[in-house]
Amino acid sequence: MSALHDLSLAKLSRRIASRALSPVDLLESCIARIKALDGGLNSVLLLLEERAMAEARAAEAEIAAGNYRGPLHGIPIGLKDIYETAGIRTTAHSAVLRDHVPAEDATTVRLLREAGAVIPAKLATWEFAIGGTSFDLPWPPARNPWDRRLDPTGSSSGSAVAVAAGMLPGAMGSDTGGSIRNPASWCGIAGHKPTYGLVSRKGVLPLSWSLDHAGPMAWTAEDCALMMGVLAGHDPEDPASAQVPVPDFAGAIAEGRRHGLSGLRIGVVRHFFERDVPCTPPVLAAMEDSILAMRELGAELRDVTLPAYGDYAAPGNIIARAESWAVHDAWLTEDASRYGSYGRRRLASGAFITASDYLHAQRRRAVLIARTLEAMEGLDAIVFPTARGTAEPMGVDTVGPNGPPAFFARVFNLAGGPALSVCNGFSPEGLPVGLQIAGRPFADHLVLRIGDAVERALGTRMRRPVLEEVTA
Amino acid sequence: MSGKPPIDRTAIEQRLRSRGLRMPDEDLEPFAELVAMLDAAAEAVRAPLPVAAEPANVLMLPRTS
Repeated sequence: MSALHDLSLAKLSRRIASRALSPVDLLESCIARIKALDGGLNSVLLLLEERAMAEARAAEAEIAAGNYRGPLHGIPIGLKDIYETAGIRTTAHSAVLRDHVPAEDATTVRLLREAGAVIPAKLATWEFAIGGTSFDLPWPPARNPWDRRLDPTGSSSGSAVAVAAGMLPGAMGSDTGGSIRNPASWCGIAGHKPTYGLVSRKGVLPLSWSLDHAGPMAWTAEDCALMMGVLAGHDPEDPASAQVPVPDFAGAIAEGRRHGLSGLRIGVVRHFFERDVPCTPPVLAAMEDSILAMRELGAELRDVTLPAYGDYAAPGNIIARAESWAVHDAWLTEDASRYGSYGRRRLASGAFITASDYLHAQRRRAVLIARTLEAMEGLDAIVFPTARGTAEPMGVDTVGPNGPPAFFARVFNLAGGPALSVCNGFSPEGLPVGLQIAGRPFADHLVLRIGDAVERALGTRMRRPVLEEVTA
Repeated sequence: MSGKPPIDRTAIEQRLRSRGLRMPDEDLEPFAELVAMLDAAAEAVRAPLPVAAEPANVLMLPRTS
């Protein structure tokens, strides 16, 4: 029998539903693992042991009384520390908000609690979800569990690390320019950036309003689907929230397990990874394995041409930096020294963007969205790698102006459609590689179905990082 | 020799002052590189586009109702 920390959220959920597993035992296992391992991984900023234990006991009692709430009941879910939590410190991993204690939960946190989830930890992030892997903040940066000398990347670094290391079965991340998918790829887990407007951002500290997305991170695509079943839906308190029918995410996974990918048409954006930003051999090999697997599962695949990857960079950078400057200008002009060096530089760089440039970037974005959707006409999804290569040494600057882009994330922050990263292989050194599956707006269920099928076909979910206890 | 042209410290400090910002000396060079990247991005987005490309389309797209 597998140890609890090796099981996916979905498997743990089924055990809890059948009363083969107590939420209290599961939480105790998570906390013991955090205490044993996180000294060397730094994924947890704040451990909420007593509160979480009370929540787990309440879940256990409810389930015993026959009041099972659904797949997240009794499941520990960590929160990137930009999710506001009532009465619990929410720092954005920054000295600026070191003592910030919100009065209310973010909408997504409320939904998780209503679904019976247990919240045991607030998790490390790049400062304000932008600052990079920094050593000059009040807390150290998270480290990659596959090799602690390597970077998990970010910004949802703690979420990816905690899940990959089996310390938590699920976590919340946020994605403005890849911050869910990129660390999911480098840490070998699944991370889903939902369609813009499908999951509320109310109470999630903003970085860039028109690019920010809140979403789940977990060991498998199926786990993300179960979390999406709780998280998705209209929120009148988020002005960007869409009023659309919520797809049956778990049903789509079940459909995929019955019928594979037959009937689905998937485009391969080959020019992204072969010409625009040539990828490393392990990434290219995993892509070809994934394409073969999808074809064997019954999907129809063909190459598709999107605008060149570099075309998305200029409007993406202008919009992201202008909006994040608008969020932070008052704090930065008051006292920029409270930020870490990376955060200070990246946020302040938006100060010189003019209103005209911002609007031209939004116009160009509209054109890119139209061209992206046009290229996806007749397709259910498109695929390309999440990252150009595997994890790099701690602190390497993947956002700066030097060198080729490390990730293929920006397209769907601009376009708004769903984009999932799943683990589709390993390098010869044993480092995980990620496949990105993106869809048309609100087709999140199809993207998750494809991700689940690929994970199962390639067998990548059988392999966890090997970790030794580190107490400091 | 890195091959990179030296940054114009006076110019970048002037730009910072114009927005009421101050930055430690060691931040100036990497900051200037970021600003140069954004200046180039701004130049790129100013290239002509079809008249119909309106930013409002972006804001409407994610909603279907």
